Amino acid sequence: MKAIEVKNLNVKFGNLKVLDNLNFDIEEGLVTAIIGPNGSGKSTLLKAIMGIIPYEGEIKIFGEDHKKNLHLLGYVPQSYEIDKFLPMTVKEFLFYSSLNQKENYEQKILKVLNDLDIIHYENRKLKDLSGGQVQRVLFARSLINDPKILLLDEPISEIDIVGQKEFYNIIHHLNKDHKLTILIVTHEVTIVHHFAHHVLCLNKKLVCNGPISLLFNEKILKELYGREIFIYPFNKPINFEENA
Amino acid sequence: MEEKFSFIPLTNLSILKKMLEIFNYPFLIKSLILSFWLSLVFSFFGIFVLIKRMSFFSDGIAHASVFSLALAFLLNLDFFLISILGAIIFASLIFYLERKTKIHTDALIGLIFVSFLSLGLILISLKSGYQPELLSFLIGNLLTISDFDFYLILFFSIISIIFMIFLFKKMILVFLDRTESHLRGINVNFYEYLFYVFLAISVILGIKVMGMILVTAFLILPPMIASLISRSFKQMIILTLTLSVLNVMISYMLSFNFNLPLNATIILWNSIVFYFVFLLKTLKLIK
Repeated sequence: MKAIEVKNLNVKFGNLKVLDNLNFDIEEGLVTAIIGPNGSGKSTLLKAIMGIIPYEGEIKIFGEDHKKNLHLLGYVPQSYEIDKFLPMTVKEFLFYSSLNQKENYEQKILKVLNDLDIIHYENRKLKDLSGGQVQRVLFARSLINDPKILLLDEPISEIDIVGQKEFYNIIHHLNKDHKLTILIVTHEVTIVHHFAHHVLCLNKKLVCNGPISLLFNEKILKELYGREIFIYPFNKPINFEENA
Repeated sequence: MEEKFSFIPLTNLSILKKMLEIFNYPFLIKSLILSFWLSLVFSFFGIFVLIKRMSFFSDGIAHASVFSLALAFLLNLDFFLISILGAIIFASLIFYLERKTKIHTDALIGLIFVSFLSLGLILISLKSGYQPELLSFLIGNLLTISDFDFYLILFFSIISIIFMIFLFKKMILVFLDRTESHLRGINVNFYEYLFYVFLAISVILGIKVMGMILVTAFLILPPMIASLISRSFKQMIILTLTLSVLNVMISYMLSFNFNLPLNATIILWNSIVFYFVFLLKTLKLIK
């Protein structure tokens, strides 16, 4: 089944066209990476899917207009700034997001924290956590209302390399065990093939749409970034002499 | 010869007796009820005000209301009703400009503050003579509240508190994260607008009896003190409400005992508690 369908999507900010006539579908159960240079409209695309910016065109979530199915979306932003004066604990933060819960929210919170292996954060204040830890809590929050699709907007941009590897494991776990469809905006073009099945290349227009192996097509990358970029598979050592 | 020192407790019988005299004066009972109740109402609102970083709001609305005051003078209308109407217009304007200009709320509050204050002052200058209402409006007077104003303030503040308690969880989510609220099906703009209007009207009603400075003090000081020592948000809410009532009680006692102006005593006592807690925290005597 199609998780997301986008038809003739156009977004303008004043006279500036940010997204130009996008057409694509995302199949249920896939991890799709959205890549492209800065200002190419990646985050704007997520905002249009969430219905928080005006657009022209049609967006469907599981066959229905996206505004009817927004509750099926979970969202992890690039960063989250909590007021340093606010003594809100992780458990409380998740409680305020757990609206429309039929089951016991307390059990649900513990279940999600356990699932992401951060149960020890439960009573810690959000303001005392590091950037990576807050990002994990944001993952937990995005799961608290049982979404079917996760939208991730550069969730690892402020995290060190060890933390990044953990995030890829989380994405893999959520996709495999929770059967979540995942859309991830990322600049990590060199390693994205380790956790994504599909890729959308965006530079205001859709430059490519297909399996992740498209990223190894130098022609596509040149069209996308406007210059030559070489991407090596992770397990292949880089031959610097060859590149020189 | 051994000198004897005797300890004089602050709450000795004579003070207690003096305080109980309040009950012989109905207007004092009204002022007592209102100051306790409004301290609770404003410190509850204050939790949201601090999260939204709009502690300047009450100052802005109060000063902008000089325009309402001037208009009421010139047109011979009831000031109280005009100022409530004015508060709704100011709140709507801040809300509208916030969305259209993307300028921070505090700067827009400043804009409303200075533009309507200056317009009000120009309008007032058109009418000659001394306008004592202007001064009493900004300073407030707990002791001269009429029955009509007393019940109006009580009625409106109870309605707004019921709404806020009923919508508490959603309001907090709106103030914590607009995108997440939107995905959870909350009409973010509606809730924010509702809060602005409730706060603006409450501020106007509060200023009438307590004055602008005391309203601002109730809005920001109890939640600020509570945030320093709370281990959770729930604890912060409970502490905020407890502190607001406790501080008014202590201020009443100090005011009666030392014959100090009540409003200033409440504000000063709250500030002293803040500095004291901050000092204890800095010296790591409390966590």
